Amino acid sequence: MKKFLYCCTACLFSFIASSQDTTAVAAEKPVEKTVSAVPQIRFYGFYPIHFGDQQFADAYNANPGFGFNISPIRYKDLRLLLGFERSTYKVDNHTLIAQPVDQSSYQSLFAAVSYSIGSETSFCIKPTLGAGVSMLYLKIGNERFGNQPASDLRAGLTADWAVYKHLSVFLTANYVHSNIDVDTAQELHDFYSKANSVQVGFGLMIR
Amino acid sequence: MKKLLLFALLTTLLSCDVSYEPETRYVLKSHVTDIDGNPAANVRCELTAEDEDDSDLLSVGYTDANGNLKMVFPQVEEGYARYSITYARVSDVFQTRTYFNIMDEHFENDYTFSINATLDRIDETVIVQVLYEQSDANHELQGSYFTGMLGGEGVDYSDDLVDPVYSQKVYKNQTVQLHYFVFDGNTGQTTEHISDVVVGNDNLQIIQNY
Repeated sequence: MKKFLYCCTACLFSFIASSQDTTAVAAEKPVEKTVSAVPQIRFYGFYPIHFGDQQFADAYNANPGFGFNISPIRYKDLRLLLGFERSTYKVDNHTLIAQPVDQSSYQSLFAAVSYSIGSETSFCIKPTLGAGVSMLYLKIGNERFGNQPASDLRAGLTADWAVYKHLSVFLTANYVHSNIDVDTAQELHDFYSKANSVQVGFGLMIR
Repeated sequence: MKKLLLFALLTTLLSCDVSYEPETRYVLKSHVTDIDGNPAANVRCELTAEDEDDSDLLSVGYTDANGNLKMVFPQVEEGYARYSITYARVSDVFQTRTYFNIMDEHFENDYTFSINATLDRIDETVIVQVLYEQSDANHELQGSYFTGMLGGEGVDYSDDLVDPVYSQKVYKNQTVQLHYFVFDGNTGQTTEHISDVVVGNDNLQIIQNY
């Protein structure tokens, strides 16, 4: 599964690279560079690939997550995004988490700014930078065992293709760095407090 | 029906009623050996947490080839919290031993507590039984404990004054000390007394006057 998603990510970026000409052509078209209150709404699924010496990589197996965001306003080629994401994890190593906990979920609220390269009405690439607040919920079945607040920084690229007048599909890849509140032994602090992941996903955008 | 019963059993076993604070993760390091200091590998370690009302099996692990195991677990919510760890070898070579009444204060050093656990083999220990006889009507026995190479099922980490010990597993062929506390009604003071007990190859019974 991870290899497949790595391949998807690689394909996304190679496609982006190979589509520079298309982008250039699209960029020649007149782009409306004014303040716009026309919102964009995205719904997407993603898979988080965690790496490094940290709990999500060593003690959990990630499941696909979902998210949505809304862009209420555009200023020139910049857009403000407000979003929510949720991903779940199955506990793989109970000795590192707690025996009764069988799954955890990570929920984020974030704000981001994206920059459009290309035309939103045909094809465009959007580098994005953002930050958010999150909560890690530890669960026993559907019952909550406890939770930990966290904060995130994110950076990513999204490629949008318009398929209808008000509908686009998109591929997205984001690097997310998380800081989770935890007090523990110094030797384990980074293991439980840091999380680095690449989220690859795809979805629909209504505009 | 069997599936239903199995589900009910699993639900019961996995249910968790103690409240936790995952923002604090304690670390319990165990080094398990036999009485000669040889590492005890593949010892099953069960960590239990309890609050005033309930208890949970919080972590399970096995010692490595060097007899070491590190367990990381969330803190029980503030208030009454006790942790205990039971060491039980998969085979019947060693006797089970529980270290109990481990409290938050034991984790004050970098959220970490270390236990050097010694497991005794079934044929290594004998039992010392103690009979206490009151020799003065104004004396009251308040508690007692043994020191020396002790075996047994439990090690208590609480600072509470212990109840009198009436039976203690100890290693063979050594001298152990019986510490006992006597309250003197005439003076109003409690005094600690220490008696040597010579242990051979067999169970023994001693009489301790106070």
